Amino acid sequence: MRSFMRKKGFAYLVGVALVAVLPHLIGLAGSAWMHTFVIVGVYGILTVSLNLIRGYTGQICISHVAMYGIGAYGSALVGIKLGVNFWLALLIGALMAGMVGLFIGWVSLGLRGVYFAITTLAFLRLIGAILTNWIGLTGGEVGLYGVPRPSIGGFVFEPTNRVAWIYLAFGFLILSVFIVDRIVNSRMGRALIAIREDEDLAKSTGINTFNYKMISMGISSFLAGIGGGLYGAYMGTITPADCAVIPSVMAMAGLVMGGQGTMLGPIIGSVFVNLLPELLRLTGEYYFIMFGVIMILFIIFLPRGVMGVIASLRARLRARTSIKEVGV
Amino acid sequence: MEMFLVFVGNGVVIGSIYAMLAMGLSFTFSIMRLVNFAHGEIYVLGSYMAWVVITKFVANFWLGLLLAIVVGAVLGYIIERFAYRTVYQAGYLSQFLVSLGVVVILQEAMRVGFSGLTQTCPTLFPTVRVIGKFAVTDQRLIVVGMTILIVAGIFLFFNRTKMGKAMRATRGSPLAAGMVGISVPRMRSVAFMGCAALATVAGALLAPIFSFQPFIGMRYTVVAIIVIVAGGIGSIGGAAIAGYALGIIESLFAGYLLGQWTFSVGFFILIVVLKFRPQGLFGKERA
Repeated sequence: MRSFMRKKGFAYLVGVALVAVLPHLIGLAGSAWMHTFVIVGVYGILTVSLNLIRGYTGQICISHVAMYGIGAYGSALVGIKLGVNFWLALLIGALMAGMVGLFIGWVSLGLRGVYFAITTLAFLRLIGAILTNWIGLTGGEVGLYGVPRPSIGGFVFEPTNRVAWIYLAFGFLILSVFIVDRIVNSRMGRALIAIREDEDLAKSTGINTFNYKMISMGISSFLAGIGGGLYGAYMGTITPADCAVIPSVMAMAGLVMGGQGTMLGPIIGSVFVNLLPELLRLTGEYYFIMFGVIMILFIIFLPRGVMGVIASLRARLRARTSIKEVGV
Repeated sequence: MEMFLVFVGNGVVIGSIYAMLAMGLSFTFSIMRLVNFAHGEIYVLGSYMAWVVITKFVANFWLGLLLAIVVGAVLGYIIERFAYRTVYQAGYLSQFLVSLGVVVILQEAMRVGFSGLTQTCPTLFPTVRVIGKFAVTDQRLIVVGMTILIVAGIFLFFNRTKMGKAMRATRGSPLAAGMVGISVPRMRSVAFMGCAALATVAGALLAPIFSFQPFIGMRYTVVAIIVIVAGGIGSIGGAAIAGYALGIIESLFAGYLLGQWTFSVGFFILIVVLKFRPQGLFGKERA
């Protein structure tokens, strides 16, 4: 922990400072963007957690958004029906998401690559269909509304108080980045990366690949559940469409556009996938088609995302300076 | 017993479509090594084509079917040429995202073009026939008949024609196929056009039976995936059998147990198959 903080403490301090001024910076652009940035923060938790299972463990988990949905539904239901305190409800929702994630993992983590991915797609559909059809519990297509707001002492996080919500969302975002960072830079993280690089080789060195994948799946599902719980509390309502195929596409596209397997990538990606449609919306009815086209072009031409571009620019710069140094 | 036969009959109709969808998806996967998530969206587009022809132009189902085939093949060419061809070497996640991008584009295009409302297509063959103990509309007979024709056609194509054999060779090993003079890109292009047309035909056939809307496609993609995994990946015959089996089981479940929860049957089968027989019922390749 101490060496970790020595190495990365400064980066986290910068992050916290950035978050502290963030609402004021966005406020300059117009208060309408404040809402988008709350969503960026909450969605960032989702992409950061997806990064753990996809970016570092190498498993293409398409059902991940469903865990976000379960976190949202779980905490909202516990809050509405049982009147439990928000923070406890958030934890319960996230634990539910973790349990479901582990079940999906138990069924499908024995599969490799494309087979794992399409199986998790089926689970995404299954959970969406359950949320839509179990009307007595989930309210069907209409979903749940009147989700309790979080509060600390006497202070209630009203959704109109965007500044407070940005702090809350980005606070949890930094916390989840910290958790993922700690995991990745541990013995376990090295095992996960080994699995990503070559599963058979990892197995042959004595790593219990199935167990490690399960742990990764459980933790990332739990974090996604936290993100979902915050999303439900901010919006005040949650519907099956919030955790269907399109949000799943957005989360994965965000991760890849930002740069998977990096710490900042998923956050950049979350900014990207939430801001871009809002900007394109100004162009009219076809905006989401344009989003799809931009996404495809991005994947084709910049498959390593923004962080990949930065890394290759850096490498080129370094190559140039080293050439200068030897005087060629 | 009479109800049982009715349910089985319904199951055969739905199963025909599941089989057709699964065969198309399975074949694109085995020849291109790429999962085409837009399969369901292409299917829905086929339904819209039949609907446009019948409700807006002439009341002729066969013209609708023809338009669906043409649109499916052209769209298949465009998708393969401009989206999928660029990512064959790029790894699964890139392929998925490009494929999901195609899903987004098709869904939104259908929403803008045909509005997001749920549509049904009027049936032009409402006559009810009684065959033994079955009472069945002509529309449903057409679905079953066409499916049998198409499945037979596919088997003949792969086993009797030169191009079908070339395609099977490409599926077995693209490298070796290229070495003996088969144009692999062309085979993939043609295969994808065929599979897209197969999806639109399924959509057009079912348009008068099931309602549709722009965002329903993923449901069919997922059913096709379940059928493929249950039937055994790489086994096209297995996909056909599993498709019919799933259709009949679902229909019986809906009839005798809980209509609303029919969708769960497929997932239950998927979970059991994956946990206890990962190579599928008829497959050789382990999932």
